[in-house]
Amino acid sequence: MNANYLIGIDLGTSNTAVSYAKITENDEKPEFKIFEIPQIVRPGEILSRHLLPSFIYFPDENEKNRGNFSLPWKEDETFIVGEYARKRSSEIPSRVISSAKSWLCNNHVKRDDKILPWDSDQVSEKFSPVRAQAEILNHIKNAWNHKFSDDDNNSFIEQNITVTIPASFDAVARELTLKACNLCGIKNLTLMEEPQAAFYSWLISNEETWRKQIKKDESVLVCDIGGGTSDFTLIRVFETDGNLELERTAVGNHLLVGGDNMDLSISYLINSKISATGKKLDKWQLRSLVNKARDAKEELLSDKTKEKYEISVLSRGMKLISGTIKSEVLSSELDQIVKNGFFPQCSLEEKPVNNRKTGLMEAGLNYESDPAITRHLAEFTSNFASNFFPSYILFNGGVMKSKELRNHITQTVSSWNESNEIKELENNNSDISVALGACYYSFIKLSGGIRIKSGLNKTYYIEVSSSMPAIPGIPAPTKALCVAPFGMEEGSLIKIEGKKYMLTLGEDVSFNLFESSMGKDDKAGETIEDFSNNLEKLTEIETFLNGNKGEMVPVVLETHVTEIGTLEFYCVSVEDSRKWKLEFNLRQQSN
Amino acid sequence: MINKKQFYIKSISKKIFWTQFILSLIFFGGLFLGAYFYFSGIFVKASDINVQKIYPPLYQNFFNEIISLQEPLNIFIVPAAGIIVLVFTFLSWIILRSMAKKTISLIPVQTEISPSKETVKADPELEKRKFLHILSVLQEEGRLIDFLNEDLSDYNDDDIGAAVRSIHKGCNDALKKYVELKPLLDDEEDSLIEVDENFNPEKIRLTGNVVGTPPFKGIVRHRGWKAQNINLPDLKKVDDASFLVPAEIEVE
Repeated sequence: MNANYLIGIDLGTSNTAVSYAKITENDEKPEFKIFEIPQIVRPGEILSRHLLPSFIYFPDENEKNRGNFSLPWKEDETFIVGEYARKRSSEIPSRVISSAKSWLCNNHVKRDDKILPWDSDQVSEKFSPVRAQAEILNHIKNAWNHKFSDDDNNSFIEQNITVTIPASFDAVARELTLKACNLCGIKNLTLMEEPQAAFYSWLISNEETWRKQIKKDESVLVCDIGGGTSDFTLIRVFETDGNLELERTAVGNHLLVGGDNMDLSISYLINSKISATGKKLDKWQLRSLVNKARDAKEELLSDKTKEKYEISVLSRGMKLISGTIKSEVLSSELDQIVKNGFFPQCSLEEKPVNNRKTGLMEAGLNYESDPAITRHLAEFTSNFASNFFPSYILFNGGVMKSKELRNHITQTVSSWNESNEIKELENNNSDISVALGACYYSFIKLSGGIRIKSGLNKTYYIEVSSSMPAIPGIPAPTKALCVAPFGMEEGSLIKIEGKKYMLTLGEDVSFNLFESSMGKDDKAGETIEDFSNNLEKLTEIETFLNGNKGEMVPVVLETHVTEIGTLEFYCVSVEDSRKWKLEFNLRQQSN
Repeated sequence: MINKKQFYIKSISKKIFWTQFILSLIFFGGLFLGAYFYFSGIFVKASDINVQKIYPPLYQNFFNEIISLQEPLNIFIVPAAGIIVLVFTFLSWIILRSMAKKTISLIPVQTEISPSKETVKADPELEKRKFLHILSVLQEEGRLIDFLNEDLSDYNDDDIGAAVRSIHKGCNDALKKYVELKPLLDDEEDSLIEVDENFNPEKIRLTGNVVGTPPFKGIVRHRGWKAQNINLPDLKKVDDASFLVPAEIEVE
């Protein structure tokens, strides 16, 4: 079956957006549209919206089966996805799954277990993070099939689909995203990094002129600050044979800090002010305060002439006016929290403050110990961009709608290199630009056009025993062997010939897998002696070796980067054609 | 709404299956029953010593072999017939179904007119819900009903102002989900414009000293409003449309 459409899906932590375009016959540039997603916005009401909040709500027995939560394509009312689910997340958190995406890269839990909603026993059947992601995709699939039901060739799973993921997603999180897409039944899938998608979205509107705007040997820093995560990427412009080419040369660490953290901090400030007057907010009012904090942030950051933003928290009952609690956020206070707390002016040499080991880590999602995004950015820049300092910066994500904040960050980054002024590339619709860019990318893949050379986003290592003689009573020293280098191309494979293992069939085999965003120059087959401080343990890769029990087989390791963009490992026999695929261990990792 | 064509295919494919099943049951059932009785006759003859005697002893083995077939035939004839019936039903079902699919796909898509209109008319409760819907939205997202229900003379302007700030934002955001509100006229207020002879009274309302026939000259006192990009919700019927917003009970 031939695909009729290109679909780009921004499967976000808090919102999901979908863009699509019809495949044209002679590769003409199609119109990129936003798919309006019908969803339940309150019981018994379905409304189409261009964002689908990534929340899943499980109605209780009394609410269910009255037709209020059924959709044109789904009578079953066990759970619903979208706006009403988000609303309920602040009213009955124990019945709502939120931020399922963040759980995909949390190796402190068993990620294929049914663990969501987290810490709740209210729901009869819980979902694994993968299943939750798959159900969000299923909602989009069914909505699509409902809208385009006139032709079998329009069936969602047959279309050319690009799903975006954070650039900093590790190999396991990518694999799990792939699993979610497989559960949904998607056949022609590409995984794409969000900052790149944002850059492609910029290219759509600058297709003719970008070669004049960005020149050879310049680079673009993409700064994507979402609700819950922040993601940095560096894209460089090269010239080969007179043509300009783009290459994604660096990707930052996965940072669990974003706009939501700012809103929460501002709401704490307001609450402390209210408490000082002797009034007290109840739980429900506290939750509504977070929304007001967001409004205050957006308003004060977008209008510099305002000195304060007045806040009124309505009482909960019918007596509206008498119960209203008044407060205000001063512009200076907001600057203190947002600009100094999350985006402090800092030097290029500063490093994020790591105090995770001292404090107790909360079970569940582990948030960043240093919320100062600029310090993370400084670390990223000094690691990767000291030789080719970025000339341009592209912002994406809800927080970055504020011009004031964009200028603030641009100034901070500019101050790191006096010889190079950094300019902003304009991103007009940050809510949907990632989805649009993903759709544009699949168009370019099909019809030809400028593509960002990227490949693997990190360097991966396994732990091997060192050749030093073992000393009794002391664990044998180990070193790290690079098995998948940064930038390894999609659809390529590497055999690590230098290291041979004698493995016994009929037994389990397991390797410790490490990752690094820093080991950019390590080649496959190279070893690092002292790695405990530089590399981060990701998980194990393991398999059961099928075959005659007890037989010894010499094997080498083989690494594949699939066309979709996921990483696979195999043990390959040196003597014959047998090979065994190693799987990622999804069990809880101890730190 | 289910896709109509898919619904047709589904219902017709069920019918095809059962028809084919019954037809092949009759056909193959008869065939096998006939075969069974025919072979039973042969077995009786073959085991008859008098018949065997007619033929030379050389044929004795042949007779024994025929007799030995009798038992497997008795055991397998029913399942074999069953399998053949099923296989034939399935094959003919697949063929006829794909033919039916093709034919159905050629039928032009009909727009549904009658059923939906009738149900809407026939359902006053849903009509009522549609009328009241925007009220419940404005209450839920902007607390408008609570506000209108307050006696403003009890409060000073400062307190009212503080509450309005929040209500204004909530109601405005809620409305934007459903409709984009734009001035009906592009001309600025207080500007002088000409109203031509074919003006639409639904768009323009004349006031003041209107004498004679258009065209008229006049000053824009209000630009009017229009709703555009209306995003119509799909509303389900509820038990009682007069429940605008549910009461909230917090379980401790």
